[in-house]
Amino acid sequence: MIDNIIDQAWASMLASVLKKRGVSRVEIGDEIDLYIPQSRLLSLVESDPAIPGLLYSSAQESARRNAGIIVNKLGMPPDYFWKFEYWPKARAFTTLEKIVNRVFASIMSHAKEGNLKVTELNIEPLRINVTFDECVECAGITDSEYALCYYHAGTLSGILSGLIDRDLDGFETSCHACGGASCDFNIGDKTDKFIQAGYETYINPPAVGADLASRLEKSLNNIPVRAIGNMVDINYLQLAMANTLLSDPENAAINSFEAGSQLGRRLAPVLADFYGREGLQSVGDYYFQLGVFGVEMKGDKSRLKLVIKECAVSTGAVKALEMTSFLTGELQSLTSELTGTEMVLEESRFDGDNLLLAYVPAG
Amino acid sequence: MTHVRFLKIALPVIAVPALVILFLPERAMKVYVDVVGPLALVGCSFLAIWVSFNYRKQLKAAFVFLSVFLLIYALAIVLFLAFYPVLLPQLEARLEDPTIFSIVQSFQFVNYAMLLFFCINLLKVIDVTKLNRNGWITLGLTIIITLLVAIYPELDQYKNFTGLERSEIFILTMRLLDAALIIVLVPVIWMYVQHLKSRQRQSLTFTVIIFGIVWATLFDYLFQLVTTLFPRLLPEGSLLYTTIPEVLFIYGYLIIAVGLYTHRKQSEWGFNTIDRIMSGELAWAG
Repeated sequence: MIDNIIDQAWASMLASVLKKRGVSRVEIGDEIDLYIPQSRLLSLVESDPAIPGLLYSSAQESARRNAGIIVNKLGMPPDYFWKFEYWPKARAFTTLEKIVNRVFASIMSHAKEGNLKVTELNIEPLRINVTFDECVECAGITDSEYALCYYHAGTLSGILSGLIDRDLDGFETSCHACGGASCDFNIGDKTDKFIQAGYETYINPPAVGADLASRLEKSLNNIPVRAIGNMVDINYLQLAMANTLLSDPENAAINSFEAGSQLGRRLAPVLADFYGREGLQSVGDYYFQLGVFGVEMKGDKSRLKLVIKECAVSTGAVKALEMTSFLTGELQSLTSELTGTEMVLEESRFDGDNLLLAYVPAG
Repeated sequence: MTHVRFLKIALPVIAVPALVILFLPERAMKVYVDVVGPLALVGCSFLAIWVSFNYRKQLKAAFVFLSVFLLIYALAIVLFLAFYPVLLPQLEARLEDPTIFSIVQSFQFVNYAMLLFFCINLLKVIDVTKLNRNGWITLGLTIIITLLVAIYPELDQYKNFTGLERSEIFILTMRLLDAALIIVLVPVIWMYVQHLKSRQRQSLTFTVIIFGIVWATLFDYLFQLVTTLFPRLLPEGSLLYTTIPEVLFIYGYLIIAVGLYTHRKQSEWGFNTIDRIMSGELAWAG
């Protein structure tokens, strides 16, 4: 199921570049503020030290599979990179750079994920240097001690693995979040000791943290955090969230709910301050302003029913409640904090394209 | 253009210059074969060098050795083996037969050395240990059949192996080397079939090149075997005994040429296809 959502999101991003995709959210549009996927990934990474590795592996696996599917759909012969290890350096670099640039950089740039570029390649040992400018994963974060674009490290090494049919790994050598001019990745063979060492250090950071409350203020105030704007295609959010669930959807959804709940508590005062409204009105305003969904609230604190329309994590044909777990956790805390009553999720289900949630007082 | 479309068009089309041989009068056929055969081989030799620029290490060496082999083969045909050889009459006027035979023999052995080096480099690149069970069975059958095909038509002559003359040993050695060549190359083709089924990547165009070499080597022997086993298949003294092997040779050379050209061009064609789909110039199947 989660695999299908990932494949659907990749296909939708390709279709968008080829101008074969219609608008899936008529009211809100198909873009979302990059704070949304960013805050979700960072919250999960903060909540569990195993998440960087899981996210990386899932992103790598799904990107590898989808790189193959995409180039196949585009008519690239399966033997295009046949015996890549025997290619002269110049040919290897030019050919790989052309394909990455024409296909995957186009997709990512069109989705406003960032600007991808292969900058250097060495054949023996295989080392591919990739630059990712305007990275959606870390834009606006400036106070991190460690590079934190785990989703993109996995995705980029997965794309290259899929293209040249080799088991690659990669790590980030420079990250915008740590003051780098761009996010740079070094990718090479999984068995390469240099790559292994770099990857192990990268994927096991002592602690990752970012001030997501002040980061939210930038988005709420429409302060640009990167040159290409603060918005990103909703498929990126779906890919990011689906990849956090891929390895074990059931347990990952529980963790995701908890991480969402913790973030909700941190954000509630910011929203109350920013919107200056009483009660739950600011919740609807927040999600609508950042392009997450439109909401119709019914009932009162004794049973609060939310009809969520055009929800960014469930726009495709394939829907999974696990995909909404972070959101439902976040909403649980926001409703609790803003109503002053501890609320719990009572019901969560899809009704056609809408997501129906019900929260009731705890106990 | 895609490499598959090009192969679908080119492989039937190149049958025409090969089949023409069957319809030409004897003298014209001989001149045609003497010209087209070496020309095709020289063309293949240049194409193989062109392809070698795409690779390094053993794969580059393999294509360079293939190129040298094809060039020496073309020279050997022009100088000694053609219907109207250029050098042979001159040598016959000046040298004894055994000396001429030694020169031709040396040429052939140098040529086979090149092919052997090609195969050695190829085996370093192609991981034959990945052959599946059916692949090993096919290889086993290939060894039996090719050795049979190489030796059987000549068996009557070689009943007394101790009394073989030098020229007979040379011919037998050549046939055994041809058999060895096929034994080495068949796993490459099998691996393509195997990988094709498992959706892994083996080069179609490279397999076409190898198939061309196998074709040019094997099918003449198969023809000999068939005509030995079924002597009444063709009328005695028929020109077809000469023309059919020539058709098979020329078609084999042209397969190699088409394979080499497509192998070199497929990267460019592949990217152009992607570029045209991405820019909306070509329809996307989705």
